Amino acid sequence: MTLLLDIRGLTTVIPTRKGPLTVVDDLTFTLESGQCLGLVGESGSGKSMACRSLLGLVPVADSTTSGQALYKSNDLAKLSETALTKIRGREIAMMVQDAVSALNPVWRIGDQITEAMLAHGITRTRGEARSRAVALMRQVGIPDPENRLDDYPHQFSGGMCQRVVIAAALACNPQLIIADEPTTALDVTVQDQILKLLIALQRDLGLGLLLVTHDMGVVAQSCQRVAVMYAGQIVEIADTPDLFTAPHHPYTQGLLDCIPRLDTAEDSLRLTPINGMPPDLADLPRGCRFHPRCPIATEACREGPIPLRETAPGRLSRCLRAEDMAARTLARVSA
Amino acid sequence: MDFASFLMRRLVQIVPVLFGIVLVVFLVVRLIPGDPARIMLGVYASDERLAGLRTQLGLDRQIAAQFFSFLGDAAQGQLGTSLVFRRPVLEIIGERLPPTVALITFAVLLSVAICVPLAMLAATRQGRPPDQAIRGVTTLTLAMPSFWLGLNLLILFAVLFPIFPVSGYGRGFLDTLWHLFLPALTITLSLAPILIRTLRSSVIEALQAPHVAFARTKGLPHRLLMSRHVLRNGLMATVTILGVNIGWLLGGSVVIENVFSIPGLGNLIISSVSARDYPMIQGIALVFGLMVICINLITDIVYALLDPRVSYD
Amino acid sequence: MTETPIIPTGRLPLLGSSVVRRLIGQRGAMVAGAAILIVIIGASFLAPWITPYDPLDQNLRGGLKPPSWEHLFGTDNFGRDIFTRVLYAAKIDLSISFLCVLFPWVLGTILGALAGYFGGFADTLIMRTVDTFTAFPFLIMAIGVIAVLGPGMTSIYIALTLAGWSMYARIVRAEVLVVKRAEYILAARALGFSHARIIARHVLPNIITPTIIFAMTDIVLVILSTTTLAFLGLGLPPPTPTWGTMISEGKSFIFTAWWIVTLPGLAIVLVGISLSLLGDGIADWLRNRE
Repeated sequence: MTLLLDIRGLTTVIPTRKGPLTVVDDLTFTLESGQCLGLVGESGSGKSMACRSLLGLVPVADSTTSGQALYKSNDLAKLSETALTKIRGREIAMMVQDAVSALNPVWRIGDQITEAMLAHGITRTRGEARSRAVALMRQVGIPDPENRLDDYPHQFSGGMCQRVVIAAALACNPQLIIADEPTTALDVTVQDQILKLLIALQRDLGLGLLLVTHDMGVVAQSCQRVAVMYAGQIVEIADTPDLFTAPHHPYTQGLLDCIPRLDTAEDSLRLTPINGMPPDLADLPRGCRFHPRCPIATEACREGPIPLRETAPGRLSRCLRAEDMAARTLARVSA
Repeated sequence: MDFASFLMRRLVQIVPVLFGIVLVVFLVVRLIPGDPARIMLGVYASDERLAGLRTQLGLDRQIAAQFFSFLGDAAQGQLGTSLVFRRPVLEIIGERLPPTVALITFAVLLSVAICVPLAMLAATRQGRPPDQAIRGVTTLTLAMPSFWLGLNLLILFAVLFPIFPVSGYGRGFLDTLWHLFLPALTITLSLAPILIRTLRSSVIEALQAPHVAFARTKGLPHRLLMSRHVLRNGLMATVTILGVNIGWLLGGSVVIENVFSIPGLGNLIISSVSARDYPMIQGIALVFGLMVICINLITDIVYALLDPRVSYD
Repeated sequence: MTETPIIPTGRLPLLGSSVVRRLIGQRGAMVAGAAILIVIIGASFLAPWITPYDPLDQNLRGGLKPPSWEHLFGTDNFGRDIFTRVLYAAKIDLSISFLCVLFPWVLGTILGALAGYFGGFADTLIMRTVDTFTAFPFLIMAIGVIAVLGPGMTSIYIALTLAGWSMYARIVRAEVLVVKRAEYILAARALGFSHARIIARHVLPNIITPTIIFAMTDIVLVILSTTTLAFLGLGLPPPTPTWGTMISEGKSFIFTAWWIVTLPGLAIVLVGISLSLLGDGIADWLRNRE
């Protein structure tokens, strides 16, 4: 198990008409090979921006990214564009949300799988690249790959397109895959298949997987470790079982409360949403960003920037009252 | 439906339009107030000559019969005899066609060569000085009549700085290119505003397209990204614009040929108008209409070939 | 339609004043355009008071003089003051161009509305006619018609109307096809209104906006077309001053007297730019209202 990603204090600021906006603030986490880290949060929490910042692909001109983003021994935040293009696709592959629109409609899918291989020099001839593409397509479960190599994206269903995207991502044997909401745009039944495929591939190939999603259920199923994002910051990181049984941040608790549960008797029919709305990044509350919606907020929560700290071995939280939450859960569980 | 049937369908769709242009050309000449024969031959023509011309033009027969014989003749390439040159119209059109075709081809190539890079530049530097400069200049040229633009180019580059010849067509390939450069440049500058603007928007749209974002994550070098994923999609827009605007281009070539004294079809129609050579005018109008229809068909086919999403329905 | 390139996606060519608009703001651009236009129109009416010369007055001894304080734009080969002729031509060119937008607009709207509203045979007939007319390059059609009818004002109107109506017809038909299915049309039919009444009072008012937007862009291109026809010798016969004929007369003198060609053209460009700015502004305002 090697350390693939060591992110510390990654911050991305984009220029807007109303002034600079910090969309990713003090991102800190680690990812090892063979590990699946889930990155959860609502829309607008900054999860996608965080992924793009890692690869220098923030879609806004003149944005700045500071902090440290170590991939093995390279600091991605400090690399030039040319150096980054060598890492993208080759070492770190990214899957975008909507697979159908991720594929160029006027190019054959075979070409779209092989182009990275040829650009990065993984294969030397087109023939080699094509046979490799066929093998990849088979690996991701696309039937009759030899004949479908020369088809166009519009001839594939949504689920098949997502498999093509996965194949393209795997084309250069990357060590790390960043999957940005890979199942959101798919039907529920297909979602499950794709997720299982992704996890199986990750396990078989020993890859690191950063799985971005807003769906806690997906995280529970697939990830060993979870990081929760809110308003551009990471508010909690923990191993999955720990996080789900005893969250160290009220927002995480809120997210868990939103999941319909069939295993507890009490109030299982009533869902408790989190009150209020996520803050406008241009007009953040002072102190803890979650405190206006937090059921256990105190005066101290309104003061100063709240740091991400270790609240238990291997667990980080941005809540001042994490220990109180832990104690309460303990009390409830043992009651 | 496969490509062959698509082709058949398009060809069939053209037939009524072909019929229509022949009809229009036929009717327009019949619109001449007064006696066409007298107008063609002049006030002093003798009655025998008038009668002779009327028979030749078939004016003494029923209008429908006239039309169908006209249609039949046209289909066989028999477009009548020029009153000025006293030779078959088709023959003269054949002589004058090459310069026009050469001019248009040169203009199209030049337009693509100049406008595509400029549009790419404007799109990739959106909002910044190069973009604004390009858009500002094209706004100016849009309001300029092409004949004025051509004349000013002549004044600048043939009179003040005598680099290019003032008129004519030239002999031999290179000489012709040299003669046709200013005329082609004029057409390019007139076409540039629309071409650059539309290309720029489609490149901007392409740049923001999800598939370009995805291709970027694959770590493709910038140039490969541009040529493979952005330009190709943008070129389809170019093909469409050029094809759709071919009518405009052909019409504009008339003026340019006049300004630069190029012995093409455009110049011929102008001189035929003042000489009242109606068979010639008819013939040229018909040929122009045919060219537009053909080029539109070719554009459709090229577009269908380029874009695999076009269903052959 | 006119001597204009057509954009296939249906979006109209925004005769981009975007750079100017960025400099002085959206409103500023429209106001600037309107202001320049008003100045030009005003000058064309006030011409007799602005210049002491007569546009038809020949003075062969004083011909081909370059621009000076005496003759702002110089003189042409007949010794006529070019600035005066440009001013007098303004009225003629602007009024002809205005009518040459109006007539195609009216004809195209009527035929397009009939095609769209009634559908069926009328639609097929009219649209095939549109296809036929669009097969001819705009200028060729205009030249042909003027060739047949002889030069003169009426010929110009007929020529440009025949060459230009088809684009309006297409736009109107497309709009009518959409509006036809609206509830209020069904209601009007149920109330027993005649077709004519429905078209006039319910359909047309709702589709008028896109046609106005198109006309705004069209007018610049019509000016280019009418001046081009004049240049080719198919405009109003001399000695009437029009910008196109003036430039045509100057063609033989480009070696010695460039101002005969260049300066009247500037008037055309100025009118074109001001109409662009104004037209863009009005088009935007109309679009935002929808």
